[in-house]
Amino acid sequence: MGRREDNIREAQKIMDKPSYIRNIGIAAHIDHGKTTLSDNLIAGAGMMSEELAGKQLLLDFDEQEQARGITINSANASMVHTYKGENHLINLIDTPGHVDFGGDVTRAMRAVDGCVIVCCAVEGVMPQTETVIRQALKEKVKPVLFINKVDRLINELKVTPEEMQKRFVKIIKQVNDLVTKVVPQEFRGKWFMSPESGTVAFGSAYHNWAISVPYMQKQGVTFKDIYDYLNQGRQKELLKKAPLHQVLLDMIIMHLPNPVEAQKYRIPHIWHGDEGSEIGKAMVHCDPRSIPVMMVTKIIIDPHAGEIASGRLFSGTVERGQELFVIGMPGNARAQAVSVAVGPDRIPVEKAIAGNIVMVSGLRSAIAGSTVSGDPDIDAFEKIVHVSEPVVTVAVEAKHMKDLPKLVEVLRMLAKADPSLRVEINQETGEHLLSGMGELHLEITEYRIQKEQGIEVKTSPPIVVYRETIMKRSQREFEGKSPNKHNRFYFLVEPLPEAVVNAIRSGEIPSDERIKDAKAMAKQLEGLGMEKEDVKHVYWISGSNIFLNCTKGIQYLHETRELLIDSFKEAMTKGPRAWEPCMGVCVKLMDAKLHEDAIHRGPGQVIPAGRSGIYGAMVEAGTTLLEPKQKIFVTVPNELMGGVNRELNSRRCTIEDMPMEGDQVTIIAAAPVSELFGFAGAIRGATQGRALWTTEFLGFTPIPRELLDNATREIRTRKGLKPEPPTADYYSA
Amino acid sequence: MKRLTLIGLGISNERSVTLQGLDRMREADAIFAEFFTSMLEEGSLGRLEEIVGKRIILLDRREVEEEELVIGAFDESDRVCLLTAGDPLTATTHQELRFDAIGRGIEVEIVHSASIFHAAAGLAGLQHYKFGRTTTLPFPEGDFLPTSPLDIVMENMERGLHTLVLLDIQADRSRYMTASEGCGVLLRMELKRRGGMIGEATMAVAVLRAGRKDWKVIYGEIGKLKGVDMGAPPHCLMIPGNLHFAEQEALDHFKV
Repeated sequence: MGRREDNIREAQKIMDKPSYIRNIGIAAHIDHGKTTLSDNLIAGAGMMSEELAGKQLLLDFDEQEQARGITINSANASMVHTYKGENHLINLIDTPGHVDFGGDVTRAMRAVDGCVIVCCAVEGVMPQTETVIRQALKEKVKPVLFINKVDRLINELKVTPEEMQKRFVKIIKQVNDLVTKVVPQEFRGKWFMSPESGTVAFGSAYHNWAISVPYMQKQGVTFKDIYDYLNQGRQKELLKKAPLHQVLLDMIIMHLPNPVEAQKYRIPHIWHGDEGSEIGKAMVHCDPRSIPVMMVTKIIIDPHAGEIASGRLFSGTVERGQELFVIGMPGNARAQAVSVAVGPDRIPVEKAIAGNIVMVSGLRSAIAGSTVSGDPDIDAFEKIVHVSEPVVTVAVEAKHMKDLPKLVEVLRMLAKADPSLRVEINQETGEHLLSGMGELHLEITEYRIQKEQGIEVKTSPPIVVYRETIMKRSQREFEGKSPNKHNRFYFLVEPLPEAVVNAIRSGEIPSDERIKDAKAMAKQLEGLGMEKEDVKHVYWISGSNIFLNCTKGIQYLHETRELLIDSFKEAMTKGPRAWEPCMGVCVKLMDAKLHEDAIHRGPGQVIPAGRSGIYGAMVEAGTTLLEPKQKIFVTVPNELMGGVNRELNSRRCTIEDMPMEGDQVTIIAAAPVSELFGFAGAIRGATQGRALWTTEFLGFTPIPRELLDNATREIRTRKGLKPEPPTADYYSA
Repeated sequence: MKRLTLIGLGISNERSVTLQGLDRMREADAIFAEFFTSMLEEGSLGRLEEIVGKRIILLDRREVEEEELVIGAFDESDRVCLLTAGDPLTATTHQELRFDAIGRGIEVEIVHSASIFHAAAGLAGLQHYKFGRTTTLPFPEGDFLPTSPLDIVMENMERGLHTLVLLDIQADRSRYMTASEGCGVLLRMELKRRGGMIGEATMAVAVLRAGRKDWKVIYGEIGKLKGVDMGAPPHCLMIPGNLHFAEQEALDHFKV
């Protein structure tokens, strides 16, 4: 107990010395042992009892998380570790591994400078392992590797020392190959991981031991010794000889950068303001004497303290009572309390300086992704890009009418805390529609509304969110007329090249924001396969759709620009087929005929004209629905494979691969999200609960032709529209 | 033969319609009215219904332009009137309606009436020979602030011509731009456009409630007019070009 208090005191001391701080994340595929690792690190550093660690799952403190054995929220913790006689402070962010919570991983990466990639020795590199590595490198977060569950390799799979070696080599190679492929140019070769350099460690988080080459040399242990210990069931001794926290925290301090080093290269990457400005310099140098600038990466909803903004302080000092601004939001806010984290506890502090992970309450308008500063006029950080988009929706209703106002407030709060959730109101029915990354994501959210907020709710069965697109270019210019018939706009539509869609969805090309550098944008689009003439005047990018102005020298057209952009945005959020969001559509304005007087080409005239012109062109080109798909990985004992295949086949899945590993087989299939509802129960039944399965978002593909009309009618009816979508004539009238 | 009569109601009240207009209304099977580009004194429509002895159906812009209720009325009626404030053919939409009707074999008859286009100039003592292109100031909304109205004022100024500046009416939202708001919008456009010809010191004429008993003309600097309470709508503005001495003398009567 006493050690814990000492640690808190010590932690507060180091908080003021950024070069002794490491801000790190732990990321992995689901079930590879992140949370166990985090807990044992915290326990080892004296933040909880050693007996409990590994069993208690300290960071999985959400009741729901413990029950499901997976991590949903990214929790914060900090610990103190002595390395070469000096105390260091390690701020740790545990991140979820389940694909439905991928948004949290991306945001957590913004707050940290280094990352421990955890990979299970038995399963090897899995899809989420690759995803988290990509996410880390994208944010210029330096990785080190921990190969976990080594004990299972020997105790369960009974591999020989040679086989063990081979497996390690394979995992390390796979990870390095991926890193080499996606690492930023400047770190090519430098962020290569190897046991020799000490950037790869091995061990068992559950049994609380780990080993690295530098540590072996220091302690005179060899791989052979480890193998023998395990083989002879003497793991307990290993725990004393090579304690997990000692080895890993040493590795973290030695190989992962401190904030002062990291901010030099990370700031220009994540902040696109003027580097020569006072703020720019202060952030690059992690200067505590300048104006505070913080990037909020998470909103924690505390039953007592309300909304707490957690994030990374990149410059200046935040103090209790200080005036702060959420960039892009009106008004100012006051830091009601400033705190830092230890496990589930938040320790209040008077102030915290640049380089720390801090939690500030009182910033009501902040959301995950906000930039908070003492100066209201600074540039905001680059948007945190997350590639997944909501694909499943449920309608939420309060069981008791009296709870409705509270439900509205809770939904608003949840959407703020979790930007991968979307809350909308159906204007027709007044229902609240909650959209998320998958069935589980929404179930958890429902659980929170019921259990944490105490509101009884009814939810509809989940509904898939489709996308609309066009399959080919339109053959002729479609004329959109304004209601007064005195303005005419002519549109062509065509499918965007896939490379462009991918670039937008991955965030390489920003969407839904003002285009800052039209020339650079034109170049980028041209490089991705678009016509040079077309991309000179990009009006707007919305979702993964582009609006191009291909006209020349039309008087007054610039005055209708914003209005045309509005009609484009409207058409892209609600496509002509079923009012589902559009994807991959390129809209080209070819010509326009405008009324002389500005009053006759105002919003009431131009927006409907633009909208029906775009809709008409899309309908003439031919629209279709795209359905979201997930890649599904089911690992089962060989003899149960038949049951799994039957289950998958009945759900329109295409089986892509079936790699064998001993007596286990992993079935990899592409599955439409619409067919996956209730899959958890079904697969449990088909395999007597012996299947381990995960999913990964795969993307959108056209719905089979024979299902298209039915799906369209179903969506339209649900939305209160006429069952058949309008024809092109409707839009030209 | 079916007949559509477009009737101007003038710019005052139920009494500014012509006797010819009144005759047509009395013969009609259906009478519609729209006020989305102008307005009469309050209660005019009700009093007109009493005079004519028939119900008059008030339409909004959507019902005229998109739902085409006027043409639709011919399914059941032979004689349809559409009433509008001012002169009927000045409204953009009604030209559309006129030729649409002709195309459908419906006879179209026009009953003219007074329009702000002449009333405003006359009230202020400006000679209508000397006007350049007319323009309208739309209510700015978000990023929507077109500056072409300012270009038109400047173009006219360069040529020594007066400009009639009409002000936005959003009848559906009960928003009528006042002359003082209009001065503010012009200055905002200048801030965005930087044409260098219009400023706080530019002289302008506000014509208020033309055609009503309490009509008023105010002549003064834009910067000053911006802060003056002009009273109830409708209003319009004029930016004078080169002034003839007779015009100058007239305006001086209204100077603030």
